[in-house]
Amino acid sequence: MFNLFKPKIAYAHCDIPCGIYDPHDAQMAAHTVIRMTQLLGEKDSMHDVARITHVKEEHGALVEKELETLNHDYFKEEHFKENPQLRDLVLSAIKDSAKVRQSIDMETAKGLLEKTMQIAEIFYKTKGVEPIRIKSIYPTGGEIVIYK
Amino acid sequence: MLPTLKPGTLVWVFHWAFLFNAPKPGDIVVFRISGEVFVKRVEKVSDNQVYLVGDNPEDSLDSRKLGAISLKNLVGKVIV
Repeated sequence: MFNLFKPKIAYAHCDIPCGIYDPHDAQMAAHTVIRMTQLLGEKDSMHDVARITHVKEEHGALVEKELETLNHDYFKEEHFKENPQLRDLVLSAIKDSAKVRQSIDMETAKGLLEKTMQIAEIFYKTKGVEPIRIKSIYPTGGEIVIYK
Repeated sequence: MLPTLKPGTLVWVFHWAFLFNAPKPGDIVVFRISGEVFVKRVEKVSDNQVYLVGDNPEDSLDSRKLGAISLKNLVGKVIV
């Protein structure tokens, strides 16, 4: 009888509505994957290879996690309508984040960074700020997307 | 559902609200989707579906992502 009046929880959001989203970590992790792929071509002791591979795994997984958060929690139907390429871009980047973990593949690692940067550009545009590509300060060279 | 409902707000839900009457735009409803219970506001009603949007659209998981929700998934109407 008393169960009838016991309050149940109804959610208004998938998690805490913090509103804090940023594509920066995904880009940094994609740069790390490139760096680890470079280092795997330079180091040959079993110990180094094990550590570098471990970091490549972690950062490949981080790219996936960060992109999935944007995909599931931030990007809405109107964003996908305004940017018809966005859905495929995210799916393809997530697939690449698995490929770079399965293999030592510089081409895919660079492709993953490029896709992550394109997603970052779309993200910043949806926030009403102008994205720009700047030279990265990492040993991987290349670029990173920030906003003006 | 900010600013209308804050986290932890206790509300009464009328489970039989939609037994004989269809939901109306503006109603706050509780619905079930993939095992979780959510609360959102009705924006549009069409045939057997409702389009639900949160009051805080900047940060709300609702019909813009989930699509229209079948009336079968509605649990009831928030009355207080």
